[in-house]
Amino acid sequence: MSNAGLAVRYVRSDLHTNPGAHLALTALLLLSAFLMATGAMVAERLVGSIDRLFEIAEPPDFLQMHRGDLDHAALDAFAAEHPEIEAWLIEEMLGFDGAAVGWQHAATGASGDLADSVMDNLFVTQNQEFDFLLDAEGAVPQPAPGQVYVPVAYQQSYDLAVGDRLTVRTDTGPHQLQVAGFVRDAQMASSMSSATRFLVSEQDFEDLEAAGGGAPEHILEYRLTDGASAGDLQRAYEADPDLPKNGQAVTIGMIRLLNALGDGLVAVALVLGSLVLVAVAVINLRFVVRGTLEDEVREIGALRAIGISHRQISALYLGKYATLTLLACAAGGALAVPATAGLTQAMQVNYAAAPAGAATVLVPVAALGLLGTLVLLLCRQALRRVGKAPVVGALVGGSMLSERQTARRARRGAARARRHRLAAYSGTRVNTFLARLDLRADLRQWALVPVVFALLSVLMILPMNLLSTFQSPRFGTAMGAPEADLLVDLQFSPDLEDTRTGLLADLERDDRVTEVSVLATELREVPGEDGWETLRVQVGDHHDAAVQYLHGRPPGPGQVALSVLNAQRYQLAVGDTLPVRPAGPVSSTDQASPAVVSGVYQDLTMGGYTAKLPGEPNPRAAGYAIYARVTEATDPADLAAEYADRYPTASVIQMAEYLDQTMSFVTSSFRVAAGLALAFALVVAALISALFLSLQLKRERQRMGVLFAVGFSRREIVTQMRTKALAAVAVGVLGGTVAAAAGGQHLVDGVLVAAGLGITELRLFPQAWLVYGVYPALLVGVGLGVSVLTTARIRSAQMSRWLRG
Amino acid sequence: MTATDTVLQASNVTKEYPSTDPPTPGITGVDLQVAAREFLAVMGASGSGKSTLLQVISGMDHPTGGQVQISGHDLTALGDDQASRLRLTTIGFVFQQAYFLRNLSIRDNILLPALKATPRRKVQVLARVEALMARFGIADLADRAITEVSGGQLQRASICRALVCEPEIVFADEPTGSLNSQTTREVMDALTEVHADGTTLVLVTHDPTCAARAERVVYLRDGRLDAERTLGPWRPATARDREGELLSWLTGLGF
Repeated sequence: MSNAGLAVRYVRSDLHTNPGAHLALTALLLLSAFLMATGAMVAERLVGSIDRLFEIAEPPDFLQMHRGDLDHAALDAFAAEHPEIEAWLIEEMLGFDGAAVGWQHAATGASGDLADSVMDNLFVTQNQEFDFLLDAEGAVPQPAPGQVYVPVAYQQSYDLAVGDRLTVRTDTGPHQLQVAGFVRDAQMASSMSSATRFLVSEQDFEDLEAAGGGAPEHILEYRLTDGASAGDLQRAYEADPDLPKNGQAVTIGMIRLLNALGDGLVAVALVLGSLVLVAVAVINLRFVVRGTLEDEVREIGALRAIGISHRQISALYLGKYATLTLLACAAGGALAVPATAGLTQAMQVNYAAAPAGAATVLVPVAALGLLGTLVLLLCRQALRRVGKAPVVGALVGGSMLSERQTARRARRGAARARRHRLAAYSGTRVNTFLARLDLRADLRQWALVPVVFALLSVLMILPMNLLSTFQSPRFGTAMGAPEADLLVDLQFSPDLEDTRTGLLADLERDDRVTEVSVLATELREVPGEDGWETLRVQVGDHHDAAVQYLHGRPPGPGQVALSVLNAQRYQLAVGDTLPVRPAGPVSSTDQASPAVVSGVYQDLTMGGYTAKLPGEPNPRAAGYAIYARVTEATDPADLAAEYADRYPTASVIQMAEYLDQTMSFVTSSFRVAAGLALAFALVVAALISALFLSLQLKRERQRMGVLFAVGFSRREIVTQMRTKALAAVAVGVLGGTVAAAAGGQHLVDGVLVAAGLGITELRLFPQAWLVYGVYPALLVGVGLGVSVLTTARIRSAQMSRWLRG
Repeated sequence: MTATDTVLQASNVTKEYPSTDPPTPGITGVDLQVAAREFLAVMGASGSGKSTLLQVISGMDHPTGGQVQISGHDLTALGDDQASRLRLTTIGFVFQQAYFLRNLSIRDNILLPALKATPRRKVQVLARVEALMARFGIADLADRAITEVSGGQLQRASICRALVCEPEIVFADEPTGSLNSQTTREVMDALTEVHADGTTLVLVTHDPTCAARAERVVYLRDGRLDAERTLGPWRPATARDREGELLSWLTGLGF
């Protein structure tokens, strides 16, 4: 028979004789392959979708938001001075509060408004040069008068369809529009973006502007010949005192980062999860290969005795594992295709459906190839023992060990037998003594179980801890949001000052409200690398706010507190001095007053670049945030609804709801990640336990036969095995849980610092009962359940045969 | 032979191995009685079912049919706990390969069943272990690991372990099968001593020299009891004659 024929026959008969272990191993490899391929494909699709959207929509490389008048001459001069600017434009926008935008379904007549959204709703017309809003087909729609294109995010959350009505409440009455389609927005697509754009015709825009009620805003957009120089342009722009900069500045890098971040987290979680699984698979494979070799040592001896070289024997085994790996990779890869489609569905709606290219196939194939290569290299390494095994030893003694190894093992065994003496054992539980002794003696084999279960515990616990942290109300205070029940956001209102005064007076009079504090959003200038730069600051009394500071404390007179990103940007620490002056063309160096940095805090709001100054809010502030606490008997949601009705131009929202919406990009990602991690960890735990225990049962057959012969019952033998399994599982779960509890914080902090999101420290708020109670119990339960099932066969085993090994 | 004298009673015992198609018969319709303090040898050619018979009548395996009683207990009707108690206190085993727990010393391997049987009488049990090891010449090996002693020494340790709970009957399955002639003699001397002390002994062997030590020999052919011969009590002086008598009987059976 040819070698290939022999190999095929061998693989077939081997798979047939030992289906359980091979099935479990294949399932494990399949899961690893599935996760690895899915992670790779989701990442590729995400990058592809974003690229595709950017390619068609042509977003700006640098943009500056501004409220107020524009100095067109200064803008022209700036553009003329910078030849790297390929094109630029001023986009006019009208911002409306969510409560002012109503919708009505054409089909059902159901209606509502966008008041519960924390997004800024900006009405715009289609740009002609670049930064296009795209419809579902990727085309650039031009709405007819009376038509509106709604952001896809709202299509999903309010279940809107073409033909539905949209009503914008203006100062002079409602303005009716009909939904003509939905648009994707390269600039504001990210689930992290705080604003979103509605597309209307020139005529409707003019009508809305004339009708009043909307806050006019501009975006100055620049497209560069080389997108990489956006940072330089931003510095040059900010250094020019005449240019409008009464708002946030954003570069393309940041837009991309924001886009990738929310949805990219799923891909990152998948890839990290798959790496844990690959580690588990690799540890297991080593065990399985070695176990199989020990199991089949006599057959190997016989093959070698009849003259088959060890290379050929290794090739037989390698062929078997290569077949299993190939099957697992093919099936895992095939399963990854629908899984990726499901996971990227929302992503493709928000961005653009990327055309499948070479990378679509190559990326997952490369990931699977990597996995396969790793597995086969490992097999080869384990199979080296075949070449070293002495033929006679294998045939007669049933051992793969050379004489020297046998002698070494005997010495170790002898030392152990003398160390742990039954004669010196003071207890009366012989079974416990034996189980403990075995665990110690076969530590190298049993170690696999705790190592794998520890890894799985971490895999389960960490994503869940992050999820519960992002959902925790305490998280807000650690991320820059003061502890409050109610948040009033005042922007875009022509009578901003009146609304603020009225609202504050009402709140202070209200018996249901216990505390009220106001922070004004104002602009200041501080010295940057290339001159004075704009700094967004929140002005007010920060002592009541209960924001958690990383270092230092809230600012007092003559002090400033900085967000982490600003502290890094200006390279300042607590105690350092930062000159601050009012923003605007009239300011000069003389007006700058030094402020001592009193504290550094983490902030996720406004892109992370914020500062806090003490003092009375300026009547000319760009906006206000009012925080209120309510009595215990009051439902903040009801109060929010009541004030929202009374002050239609203000966004009044329950703080918990605000945080929920702000963090929804991460929570939804982590909900998926935590769910997947839990399911995979449990399945893998079951697989590994089944695989390990069935092989270990084989290894311990003779031992169990001996125990049976000398008078141990099957029940006792089963109990010994289960005790060992339970101990190994419990040690692993305990270790993993402790590691996740103690080291998880550092791991998360490390990842966050590397991500550069303005968060350097994320205090985890775990749901202790769940992750340190239910999760470990689940894992131990799976381990125990599998050990019960696996060891059940001992009850019907033919012990006389087991005795012979 | 009265019923009370009988330690082992096997009636119409059959054992089949169902994993093959059709099932392979191991032994078929075997009836066997062993009296208290008797030394019985079971002989037969390779594959005749000697070891299968021993496994079934000793409780290591369940018969497919028939009934086995040891000391009045029906092995086929006993539960797991009762059967293990019987193996622990009433039955001793000596196998061809000296099967031991590799993580225990020689002493601990012998001690294990005794300590399990009477965990609270450790001092007495240890004294018995030491006495047994001294009697069978392995006292100086007590703390050795099983990998550090010879096959003959291991087999004597096996005998010590089989005797440590003072069983009524000891089953020995080819105990000299992998030993040289000198060691075989030593092991057989030890087993003969065991019997002389009053323990019932069932020995499976293919070696007529070993079988000649028995009082009675049964011959198994193709899983059935084919013949039986009584040799009477063993006396070293008549060893050569017994061996000759046994050999001619076996030759007559086609052994």
